[in-house]
Amino acid sequence: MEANTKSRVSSVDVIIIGAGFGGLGMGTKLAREAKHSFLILERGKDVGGTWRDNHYPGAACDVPSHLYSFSFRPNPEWSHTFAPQREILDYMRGVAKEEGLLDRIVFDAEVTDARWDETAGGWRVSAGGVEYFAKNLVTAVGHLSEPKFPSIAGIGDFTGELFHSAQWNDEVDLAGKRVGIIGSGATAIQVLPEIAKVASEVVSFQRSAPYVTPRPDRAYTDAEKGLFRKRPETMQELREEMFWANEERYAQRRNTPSLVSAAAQVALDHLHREIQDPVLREKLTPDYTFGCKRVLKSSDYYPTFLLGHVELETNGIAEVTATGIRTASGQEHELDVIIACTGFEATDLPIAYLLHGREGKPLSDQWATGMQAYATSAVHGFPNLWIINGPNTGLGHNSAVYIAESQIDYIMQALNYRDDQGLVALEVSEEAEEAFMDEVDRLAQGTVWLEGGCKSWYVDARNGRLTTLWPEPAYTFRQVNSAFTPEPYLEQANISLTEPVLAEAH
Amino acid sequence: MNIHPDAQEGTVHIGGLVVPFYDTVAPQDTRETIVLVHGTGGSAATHFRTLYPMLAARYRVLALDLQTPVEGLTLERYAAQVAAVIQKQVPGTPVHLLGYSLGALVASVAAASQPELVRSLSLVAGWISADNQQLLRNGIWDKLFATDHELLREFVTFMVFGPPFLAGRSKGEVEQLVSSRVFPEGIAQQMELNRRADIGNVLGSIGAPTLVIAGRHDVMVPTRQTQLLYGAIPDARYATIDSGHAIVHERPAQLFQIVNEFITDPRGTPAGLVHDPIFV
Repeated sequence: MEANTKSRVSSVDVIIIGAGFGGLGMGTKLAREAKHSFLILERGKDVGGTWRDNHYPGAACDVPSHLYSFSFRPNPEWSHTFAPQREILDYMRGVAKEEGLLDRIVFDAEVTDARWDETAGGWRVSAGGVEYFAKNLVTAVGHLSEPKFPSIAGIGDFTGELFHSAQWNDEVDLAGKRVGIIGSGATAIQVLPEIAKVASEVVSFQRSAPYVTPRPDRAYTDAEKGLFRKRPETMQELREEMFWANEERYAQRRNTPSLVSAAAQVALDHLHREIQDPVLREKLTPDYTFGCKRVLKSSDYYPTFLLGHVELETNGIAEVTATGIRTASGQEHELDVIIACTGFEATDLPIAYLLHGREGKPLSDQWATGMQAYATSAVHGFPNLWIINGPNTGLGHNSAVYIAESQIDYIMQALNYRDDQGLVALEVSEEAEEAFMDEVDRLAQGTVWLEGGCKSWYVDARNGRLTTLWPEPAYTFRQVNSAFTPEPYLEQANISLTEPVLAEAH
Repeated sequence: MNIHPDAQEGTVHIGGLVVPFYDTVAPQDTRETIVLVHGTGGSAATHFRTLYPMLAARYRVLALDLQTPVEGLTLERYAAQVAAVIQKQVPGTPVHLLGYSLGALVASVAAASQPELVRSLSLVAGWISADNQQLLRNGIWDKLFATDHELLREFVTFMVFGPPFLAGRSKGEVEQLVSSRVFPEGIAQQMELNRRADIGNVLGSIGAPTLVIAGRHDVMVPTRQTQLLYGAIPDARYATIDSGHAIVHERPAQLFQIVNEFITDPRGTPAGLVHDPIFV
C-alpha cells in the first residue's frame, strides 16, 4: 500500500472520475478497506455530481431518501420522505467529509483524456492540466450529467436569458418575468410549480404529456427521527419496505395489461381529480403505454396549470426568435427567459470520447452503434477500466444508488482479485461481453420500454437496443452484476513487469 | 381481466366440478413449470396478480381457481384438483408447486399424496392446524359473515395486512382496501375447512425439497404457526418476510426473489437452512 493522504501523488492504484454518488461510494469502500491508494478527479468545485449541478428551484428526488442513499451510511436526519436537493447534497458532503475523502479529491480536475498504457500497465489520465497515472480507472460520471440542448431553429438568436435546467443561472431574477419552459419531463414538472410562484407569465412547451402520479411526501416527526437515531434497524426496515414497494412496480413494466392499466389509472385518476377543463385534460393525457417513458411523481404539477398566468402550449416549437418562441401553428410567445428542461445525453455518453483502450481506440468508436459492457461495468479492449453508471444501469422503478453500490461491490472484488493474482491487466473477453448483452436483449423482450409505443432515452435510436436501462428488477441486478468471477476475463501476460502474472493469451 | 397476456385458459373436469386454469404454455417453451395454488377467498387472478407476471418472465406458470363443492369440502378434494391440472397440462414432468395460505395446506397434501408430481414445494403463510388465536378469529369472521358484511370487510382488512403495511398507506388507500374486499362463493366452506384442517399426519412423508415462508407481522396465521411446517417437513428451509398475512399483496417482489432463488436449485441449499433477511 502506498501512502497517500494530504500530499497529492500523481501515481496511484485507482483513479475515480467523478465525486457524485458513484465516485463517493467507490471512494468510501476503498478508504474503508485501506488496501489501495486512490484519487478522485472531480471537474467541479464541490462533490455531489448531479445533485450539485441540478439546483434549480424545486429540485428533489423522486425515490424516497431512506432508499436513495448508501446502505452503509444510513441517515436518520432526512426531513421528508422525498428530501429536497439541498439536503441530498449536504448528505453527500457529509459522506465525503466523514469518510475522509476530501483529501483524495482533486477539484477543478476535468478529465480531458484517459489512455491505456500497454507498457506501463495502467491508465494515463489528463485532468485540469495535470497528468496522472493509475493502475485502475473507475469512471463514475453518471448517465445524466451532460445537459442536452434541444436542436431548435434560431435558438442562438434569442436575446433574452436562455439556460439549461442543470446549468441554472442564479443571476437571473425570474420575478415578474415572462418565462418559457421547454420540456415536460422529470425536471420540468419540478421547475414549473416553483417558477409559477414568481414569474408574471409562464408558458410550458410540451411535446409529449407525461404520466404523473401523486407524490406522497411528508415530514418525518421528531419521534421518528429520534427512533432512527436510537434504533438504526428501524431505518433499515423502512428502507426495505421502500425497496420492495418499488420492485413491485417492475411487474408493471413487463407489459402485463392488467397491471399496466391499474398503474396508469392511478395517474389518470390523479389528472382527472386535478383538471376539470376537458381541453386541458386532453392535452395533459399521455398517448403512449404507461411506463414506456419515465413515470413522474408530483402533487403540485397539475394544479399549476389552473393558475391564470400559466399556459400549456402543445403545438410544437417551430423556432426560437429574438424575442420568444414561435409555434408550429404560427403563434408567437413573447418571453424574457427560456429554460431548457430537455434532459441529458444518456445513450451517447460523452466520457466515451475521452477513454482510449488498447491501440488507442476510443471507447466512443467501439460504442458507435450503442454502448455495452460485461456485467454492466467492464469493456473488452479496455483493461482495468471499470464503469459505474454506464450501460444498462438505469432503472424505471427503483434507486440508482442501490445499482451503483452493486457495481462498487463488483469492482472492489475485481481490484482485489487482480492484486491477489498479481495480474497487470484484467480485461473481459469480447465473447463474454457479447454473451452478456445477448442475455440483456433476451430479458428486455416483452418489456414496456421496447413495446410500449413511445420514443425515450431508454432505447438507443442507433441500434434499437435497450442500452440505458436494466431490463429486470433491481434485486436481480445485484444478483447478476455484483459478484465478480474471473472466468470471463483474459489475464494479460504480454508485458513484463516485476509483478508476477498468470500466463494467458487472447 | 386476463392474468397475463401469455396465459391460456383451460379447464379440467374432476369430482363433478369444472376447474379453470391459466397456463403460459407455448410451443417452444422448455422452461420449468411453477404451479400456483391460491388461498381462502381468493383466485389465481386476485392472489397472484403480481407474482404471476414476475414468475412468467422466467418460468412457465400454471395457476388454477380451486372449485368448492356445495358440501363435503376436504383438503384432499382441493389437492385432487391441483393434481388433475398438473397431470393434464404437464404430464410426466414434476413441477415446482407453490401454495399460499389455505393453498399451502392443499399443496402439502398434494405433495405428500402424489410425490411424483412435485419437484419442489414452496409454502407461503401456511400452518398445520388452527390454534386458539386462529380459532377465535375464525369465530368472529363466522358471526360477522352471518350478520354484517360491512364490518367484516373492515375486520378482514385489519387482520390480513401487516401493521407496517397499513401504517404506510394513505387513508384513501385503506378505504379502498376495505371497500374492494369481496366474499366469493364458497368462502364460508373454506373458512370452515380452515377451522378443522389438520395436515400434521402427512408432513413427515413429504420428500420434495421445501421452502417455508412466513410473514413476520402475520396476525392471521402467526409466524409461530407457520414455522411449525418448517419443523415438520424433513427437507425444509425457512425464510421470513416483513409482511402481514397478505404477503402476495404486500411483498410480491420479495416473495418472487426468494421463491426464484429456491426453485432455481431446490437442493442447492441444505435442509434446515434459515435464510438471512435480504439486505438492500
